Amino acid sequence: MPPVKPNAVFLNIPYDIDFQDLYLAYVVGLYQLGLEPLMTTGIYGGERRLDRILALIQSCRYSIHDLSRVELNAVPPATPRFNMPLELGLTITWAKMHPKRHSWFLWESTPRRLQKSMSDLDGTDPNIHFGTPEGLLSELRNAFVGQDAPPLHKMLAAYRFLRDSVASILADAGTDNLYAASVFKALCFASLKAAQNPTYLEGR
Amino acid sequence: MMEAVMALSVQLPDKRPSYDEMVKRLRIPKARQLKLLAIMDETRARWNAGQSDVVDSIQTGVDSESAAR
Repeated sequence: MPPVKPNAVFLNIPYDIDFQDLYLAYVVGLYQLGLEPLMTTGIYGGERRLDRILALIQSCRYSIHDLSRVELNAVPPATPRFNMPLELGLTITWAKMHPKRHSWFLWESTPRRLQKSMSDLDGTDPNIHFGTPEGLLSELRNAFVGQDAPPLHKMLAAYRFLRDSVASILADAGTDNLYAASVFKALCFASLKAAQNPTYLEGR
Repeated sequence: MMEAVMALSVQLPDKRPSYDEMVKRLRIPKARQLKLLAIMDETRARWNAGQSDVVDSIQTGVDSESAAR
């Protein structure tokens, strides 16, 4: 069993172009709160992929499962997205077996959508971000309560700063894929530095 | 029905890894770190010149090969 990183958050999110702003908001917001996001990006296919995903979940103290874009994929043949619900199921089982090692959060953009898509979870309320970076950052502050949480406007300034750096970060990495493992690492580094050194955001 | 075990809010422990520890864990070569810091400096310079918030959302990018999650 891998050791638990006390501030690591397994981020179970869609890797698509329409989710980029929220993806960036998660990365920036979690570092602003002193947490570290981890994702499956960089874990390649193969028979041990699921084992490695489970090990990643087990190494994280927390997880966020954003089901706001669970829908049919338009590329023929139209198919529903199942990897995210699968990883949620793995996490729920893991947390049920080891409740002191893991806490999981379910996020949605719209109230009551979850009751329709996953009625087995009736009776629990997801965190709602309303599909906006501001809503997401605000909800992150509500979900992860700490003594040293920065005010929302500072978190939003950090998000805007990183958003304005994205084109250069992609160019440096030589890819257009914001979810590529090397880009994810670069976003983590820049988010960390923005959290560590607020002078980047001076006057904002 | 699955018993509700999901969290809505947690209290973070006061003691967490330092920024330096977190940077180390990313295992990014020093040369790349310096390049990324230079990109951040460029963004700061643009902001100071009043060129921030030109767009409301990320204007570039593609779906990841594993987008259909």
